Formats: sequence, C-alpha cells, structure tokens
Amino acid sequence: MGHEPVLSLQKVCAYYGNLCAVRDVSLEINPGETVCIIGPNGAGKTTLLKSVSRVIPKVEGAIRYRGASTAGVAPQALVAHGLIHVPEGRQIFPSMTVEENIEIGAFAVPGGVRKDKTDAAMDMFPKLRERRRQLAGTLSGGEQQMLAMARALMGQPHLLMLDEPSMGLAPKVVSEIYRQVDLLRGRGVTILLVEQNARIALRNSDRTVVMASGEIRHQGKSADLLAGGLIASLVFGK
Amino acid sequence: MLYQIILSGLTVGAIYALIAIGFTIVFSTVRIVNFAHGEFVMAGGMIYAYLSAVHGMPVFPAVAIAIGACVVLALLVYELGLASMDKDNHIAQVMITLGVGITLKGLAQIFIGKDTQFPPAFSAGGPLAVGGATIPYQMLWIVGALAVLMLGLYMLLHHTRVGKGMMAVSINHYAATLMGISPRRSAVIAFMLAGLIGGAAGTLLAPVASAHYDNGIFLGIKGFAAAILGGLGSPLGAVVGGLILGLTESVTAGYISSVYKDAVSLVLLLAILLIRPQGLIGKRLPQKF
Repeated sequence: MGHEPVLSLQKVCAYYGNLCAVRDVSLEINPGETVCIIGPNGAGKTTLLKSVSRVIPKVEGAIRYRGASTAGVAPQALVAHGLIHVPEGRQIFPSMTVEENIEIGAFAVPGGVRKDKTDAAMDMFPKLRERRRQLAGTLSGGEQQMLAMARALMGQPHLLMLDEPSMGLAPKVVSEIYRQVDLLRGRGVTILLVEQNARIALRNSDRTVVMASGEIRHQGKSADLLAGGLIASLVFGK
Repeated sequence: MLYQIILSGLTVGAIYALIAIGFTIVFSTVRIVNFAHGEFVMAGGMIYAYLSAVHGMPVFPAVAIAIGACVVLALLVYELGLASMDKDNHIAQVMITLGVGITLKGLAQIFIGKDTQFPPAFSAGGPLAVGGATIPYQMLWIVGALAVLMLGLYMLLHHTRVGKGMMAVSINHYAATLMGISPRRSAVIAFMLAGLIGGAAGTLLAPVASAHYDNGIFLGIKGFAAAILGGLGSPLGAVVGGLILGLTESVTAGYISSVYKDAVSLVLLLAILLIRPQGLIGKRLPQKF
C-alpha cells in the first residue's frame, strides 16, 4: 500500500435524478489522516459520503478506495473491505437489543462476530455495556450515536466515515463522542468526518475541506483555518 | 359440537397462518405486498394433485416436488419480475404481482386442468375420535407443519447469520446496506421462504379442501387478511391472525350460518384495524432520531 491514498476522488459528481448534489469534487485522503468536510446545509457533504459508500446510484467521476476503483462495486463489498459509513441520524436498529446491534456490525467481516471485538466495542462506551440487553430504540440520542459508532467499529474500519456525529446532542455528549474519535485517530484509523459544527470539526481533524453548493470551496490544514478565521467568510459569505 | 368447531377452526386457521407468513416475510424484507402469493399456495396443491393423480407418485415425493416447484416459482417471480424494479414504484410492483398471479392461474388451468382434485391425505387411516370430536389425520399434519415451520423460521431469523441480516434489512434497509448486508439477497431468501411455506400450505390443504386452479385469489385474500389482522411484518402476528380468522369463520359457520362467515370475519378485521391499526402483534417501534 505504501503512500497510496486510502481514498481518492477525481472529479466526482453525484445526482439525485437530474439534480446535481455534488459537482467536480477531487480529494485525497492519506493513511492515518482525519479529514473533515464542513459546510452549510445542502452543501453536498452527506451526498459525498453516500457516493463513496456507493449507496446512491448516479455517481460520475473516479473513486478509488485503497487503490482500486469502486465503480460498479456493491456497497456490501466495500464494507467487507473496511470502508465503514456511520450515517447521518445514527440509523440504529431500534427493535434489536444494543448487543444485537453491535454484533450486526460484524456482518461483513470474515469469521463473523468475535467475543473480544464485541467486548472492545463496549469497553469504548461503557454505557452500552450497562444497556446491552435493552432495545436500542430506548437509548438516548447520545447513546444511539455511541451505539452507531460501536457497531461501525465491529466492521474493522480501514476508512471510517462519520456523518454529523454531533447532530442534536448536548455539548457534554459531543465531547464524549469526540474523545472516542480522538482515540481512534490515535490508533491510526483513517477518518472522513462530516460536521456542521465547524469549530468541533477543525479541532478534531488534520485537514478540512469546505463545501458549499456541491463544490469544494477551500481545502487546508485544520490548524491554519482555525487560526485564520477564514471559515466564517467561506461558509457564511460574511 | 363446540370441540369440532374449534378443531376445524384451528385447522383452517393454521392454513391461513401459513399463507399469512409468506405475505409477512416478503413484506417486511422487500416492502412489497405480493399479490401473487395466493397462487403459490394454489400451485402447491395443484402440482401435488397432478403428480399423484396423473403420475401415481407416492405422497411424500409428490409433496416435496410440489413445494420445491413453488420455491423455484417464487424465486423466478422475484428475479424476473421485481428485482430490477424501482423500489419506490409501488403501483408498478402491485401490477406485476397481480399479473404474475393471473399468469400462474392460467398456466395451472392449461397444464394441470380445470377439474377440482382431491389428492390423497398424507397418511392413510380413519379419523381419530377424541371426546366427541373427530380429528382427521390431515388436521394433525396441518397443525404440526405450522408448529415445525414456525420453529424453523424462528431459528432462522434469530440464530443464523442470514436470518439476522434479513431482520436488519426489514428494520432499516439503508442501515443494513451500510453494515454490508445485501438487501437483494435477503429479498431472494424471503421470496423462497414464502414459496416454501405457501407451497407447503397448498399441499397440506388440498386433501381436505381440494385443489383447483381458481383457489389462489381466495386463499391469498384470506392469508393477507390474517397477516393484516396480526400485524403485517410480524411472523407471530401472522400465526395469531390466521388462527383468529379461522376460528371466527368456523364459529360463525357453526352457530350462525356459513353464509355469513366471510362477512363476520371481515367485520372483525375492520374492527381490529380501527382499534389497533398496526395489527394485534404489530409493533409501534420506539424510535428516537
């Protein structure tokens, strides 16, 4: 693998019917890097993640994951190769227990569910261990987000895509979620993060991509952007 | 008298339950109401009758072939008719399943015949007399088959990888895809299971209620009503719905008049849906987003 990017996008466009939601996006993510995409509602951030995980049908341009083109590849096959997408709105399985949710995260992993992996996932989020027999639909929003992340970790991510993990959560819960994101970064997991909260995003990433109206408006080191105060002008046009 | 009524109600109910399970499995995994489903049941009975009458085949090979044929039919209906369709075009899906149903009926009429047929019961011998009621052996086969198939289905859904994947697809199609589960594969398995259980219901029913090419619609409607009654999407609901529907019909026919049995059971269906739109067992999921 060497220095090959984990993910590379070249002139990617994505459509809903005739509506172009992502236009000419080119982006590379290197091993171990955390890249964050920020931008206002409707900027195409979520659509970009969906294009990468191949869950929307109409995507043009070249997407390469770990060196291989993903054109025509089924989403399941990408998951089996460690491209794990934690979707917007958590999307847990409410009528299954917490434990069943976590186990299903290992569905695509060869060898299936391993006890030590389940334990490791629950060690990260001790609250989930307490509630393992509870129906996932009865968890609070923050716990559901933790569950969605624990479930994703069961898939042994090589590239983890997190879509707005802070959405609708109390600041305290957000910082707990990001503490875990930090741990994952420390372990060398490559992360593609989508956030609306620019401040959180910049603090928790190496590089930041600013999107608006489906296009990339700016890319740069997160630290520089954080210092420069450029964001407000780019995102909000002030 | 009462015993007899309850026993025959449970038998008919068990058949309705088996048919309802097919509707429910397909609906929960593929979000399609398969209006051709009743024709799988018809086909099961017709093929069994054909093999035993025309070819003189012994009971169990004939039943096995009939059920196998229904599994293949169901698979073909999905793969050729529905798999490549736009998931959100519900009207087109309904039209396709209706069209497939009519086609299957026509094929049965042409290739097997228009005569009403009574294939042999699964085991020979007279009815058992228990406390004033008589129980034909076929009745035991029907109820036993329901129990065995339900147990098998439960084990499949809760204790196998394939089954858990199907459950995940039925709860949240999108999230299941992101977990690496193939909705299409789940759909194929759901249709094959529906073919298997529906075909089995057809072969079980034919010796007591005859096989006829025109039975599919009526069987489908009864099974669909049972599935709705119990809560579409819940296999347990399908069983409860089927048994209640069968018992209601049988009690109405026994104590009021068989003319009213359909009316009474449909009124019951409407009443339950007014009070519990999600069906008797159907869940309102706790959700927080």
